[in-house]
Amino acid sequence: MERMQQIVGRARAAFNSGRSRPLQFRIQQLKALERMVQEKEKEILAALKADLNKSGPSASSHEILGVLNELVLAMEKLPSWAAPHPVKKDLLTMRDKAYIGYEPLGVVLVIGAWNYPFVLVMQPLIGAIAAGNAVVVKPSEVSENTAQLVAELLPQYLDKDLYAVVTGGVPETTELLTQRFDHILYTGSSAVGKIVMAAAAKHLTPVTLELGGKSPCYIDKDCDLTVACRRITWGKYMNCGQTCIAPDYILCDPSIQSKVVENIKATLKEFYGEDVKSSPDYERIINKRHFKRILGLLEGQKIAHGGETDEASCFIAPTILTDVSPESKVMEEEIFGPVLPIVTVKSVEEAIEFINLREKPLALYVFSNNKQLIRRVISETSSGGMTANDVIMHSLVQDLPFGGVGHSGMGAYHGRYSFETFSHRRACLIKDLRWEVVNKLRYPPGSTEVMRL
Amino acid sequence: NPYAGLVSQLRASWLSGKTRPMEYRVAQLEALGRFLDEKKQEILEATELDMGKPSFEAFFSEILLCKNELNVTLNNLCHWMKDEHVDKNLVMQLDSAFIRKDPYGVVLIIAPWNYPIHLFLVPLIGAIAAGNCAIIKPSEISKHTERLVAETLSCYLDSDCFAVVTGGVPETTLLLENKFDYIFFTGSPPVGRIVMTAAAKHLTPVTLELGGKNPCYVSDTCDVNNVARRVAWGRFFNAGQTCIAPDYLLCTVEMQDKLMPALRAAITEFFGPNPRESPDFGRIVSDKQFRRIRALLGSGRVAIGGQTDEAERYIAPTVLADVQPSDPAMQEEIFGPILPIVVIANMDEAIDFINARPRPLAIYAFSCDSKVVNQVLERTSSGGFCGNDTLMHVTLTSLPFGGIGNSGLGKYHGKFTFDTFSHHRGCLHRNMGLETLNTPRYPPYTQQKLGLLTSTFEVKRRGTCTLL
Repeated sequence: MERMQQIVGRARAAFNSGRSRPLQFRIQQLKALERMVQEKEKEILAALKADLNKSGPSASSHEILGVLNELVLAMEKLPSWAAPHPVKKDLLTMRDKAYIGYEPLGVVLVIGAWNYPFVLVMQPLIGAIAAGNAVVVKPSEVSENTAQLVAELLPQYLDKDLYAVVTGGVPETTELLTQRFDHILYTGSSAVGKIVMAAAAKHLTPVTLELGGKSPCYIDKDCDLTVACRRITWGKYMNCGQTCIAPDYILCDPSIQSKVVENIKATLKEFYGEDVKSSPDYERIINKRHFKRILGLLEGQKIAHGGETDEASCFIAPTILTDVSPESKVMEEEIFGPVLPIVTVKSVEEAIEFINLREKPLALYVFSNNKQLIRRVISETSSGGMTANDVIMHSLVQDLPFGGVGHSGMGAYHGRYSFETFSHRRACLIKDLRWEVVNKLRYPPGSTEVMRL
Repeated sequence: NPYAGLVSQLRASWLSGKTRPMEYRVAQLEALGRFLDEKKQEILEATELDMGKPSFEAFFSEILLCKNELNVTLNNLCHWMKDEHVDKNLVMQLDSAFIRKDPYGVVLIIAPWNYPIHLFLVPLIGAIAAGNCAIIKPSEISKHTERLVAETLSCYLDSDCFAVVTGGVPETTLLLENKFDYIFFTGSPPVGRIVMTAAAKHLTPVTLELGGKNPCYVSDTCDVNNVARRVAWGRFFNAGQTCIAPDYLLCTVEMQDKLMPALRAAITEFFGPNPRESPDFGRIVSDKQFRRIRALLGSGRVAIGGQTDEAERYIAPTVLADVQPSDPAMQEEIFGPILPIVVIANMDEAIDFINARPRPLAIYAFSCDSKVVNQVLERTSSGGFCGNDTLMHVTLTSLPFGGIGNSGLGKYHGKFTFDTFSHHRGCLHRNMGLETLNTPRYPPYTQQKLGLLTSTFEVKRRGTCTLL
């Protein structure tokens, strides 16, 4: 597949021309992206609706708003992000210039995912452009309408050689990964994350892997259950559960389990009405393969609410499972669907132990009025990020790094962290050619007197 | 797997929470300090046996620089460990948003032979400071130091949480099959690839401190004597076995002529008329390395030095003139006391020469004209850069030390080591009240709700305003 070689080769030649280095150029490209999002909003929303049945307001707030915010931040802050950072000097370097320079890496690869197909290619792209790189974007073929749209739109607004879009599935991505990149940012599953990192290892390419896992949600007995359940319902069932940081499963005391179910049921009615299927705000499963996969997780489970499905439209109703056994299938893999298992635990210690026995998740949630308990859960567990007394929201704080740990990923981005991910921090020390007398101390012949100094 | 037991033992210690309290970390770091103080003589002797390391050099790189890192860490650990609070938007004013520094768990540090104490100890300082357990794998090639570390480190560090594993390639391969939470590797690019491939199987993040050919450009306008001293110092330190040593020189033919006597003078100043007798000049670490480096002498013409002694693994401080890009000395990282000079016509040619090759760990440029130094800096890419000197940029703990491309990924030294070994976890602690503020985000979705969300979450360009 010479095509891949050509595209990457063109991007590299364009990078080597140096035109992406000046800040003015980068800001101009970011402005063009901003125009693209504003002018083509209708088309973007239509693609998201076609791919995931995302409603207008939902797509606007989850995908478009975030992208516009990120663009504004990057354009505003780029001069300060990209400026050399002077560092503290010591006695020997007092007279010198010592600073960290931020430089582009070269040609970077962004591989997007299908669940938030627009923002998950755009947000990394913004950081990569801001840092002065050439970028090859590979949107997920599973969300094919958005992939097609991105492939059509980017060349209309951006420098065609510096920023290229490659479409295709597994064979195309595999071929693309044989090329040498200077950084790869991949969003997707842990299984494919391993493949990406192994391919990157051949070229010693640094990677940022935004993966997934089962994000636990612990509900303490001491908390406002109504509020907690409303917030959990929102985060769990948005995008039909297909969110990498959705609360995957609930851990709570058996005494509050039925109350939790009641509260979630009530909230679901509030959000989607009596007939969820006809709510314009409830999405669908991306495709038949995932539909069947999620359906399989329901086997043998106690369905406290929901469970209705319709294969033709890939509809799965918001579902709650109770008294779920830790060994069951639904507790083995990331659900990535509108199925919420509740596993009962007798104490916060048991919850913490349960969480720590498993792979480190991308997000962790805890609901409690007790600040000490929250602090304890945070300090005795590990996760990519976390929110206490809400879900999802930590990913919306612009100044927090967003990324995983362990099986849920490595590296982070969003805001300034995107810029840093795609930059090389080069240590620079500029000395004077004079003042040689200071250097004499370090030159041989060494003597014990000098050593004692 | 022979190491599975050790790894799970360390993981159990990690899960017990033992390494978390600051007091524990400080105690372990102070113990490392005592190791450096009490075993100083043994360290100087072991490194001398391993590669004839002059005690002056060994003191500087293996003791002094390590103690600096230790002190910087001990002085700042409390501050580094604190949660970092960040700015919040309108909706989150009553919430607490902060970055927590979580340890990774059980980390693996693989060190090379050329600075055998420094290159495991400085990463270890960061690993301990960040609250991890660690397995240290020193190089089997510097075997006296390996034995010293294996036998004595456990007298200082908590053996529940820190272990030393010895061995060669087969042992390291088996070790790498285990799951670690971070791997820190210093060594060659080919082995770096192997390490990263092994790490990929477990999705283990890595820092790879590798190498390359560090170019050293000397412009026509410079103080030849000072340049010669600084370049000679950097090249011949540890008999050239330094990842950031100036690997080759780029200059005009006129500068080559001027530099030669200055280099000769510097070498004599440093090592006397017969460097073989100087206590301040090292030896090559092994017969294999000796033969490899000796074979490079056939490049260009020997202008200074060139003498060798296989029994002693001695290679004289050597300067090769008129070296061609196709010569053996220009095909691989030299890692020995040989300085090839490649003649170029001007600065632009030098920059093109550098840019046509893989990005190195360091680039050096010498000129009295600061514009020239800046040009080289701005038009090239490398891990780090030092203008008008060699090696010194890595002694400043406030500068990150690491490579780019083939010369590595990740960085450390000072706070960067602590950051390397900690997971920066984004945390948001919200208020359970004020639920009405959340209403705009909930279905059923309406344009009005969207408008409200936009106005509360939107980041506006400065200079614009919304009329509510």
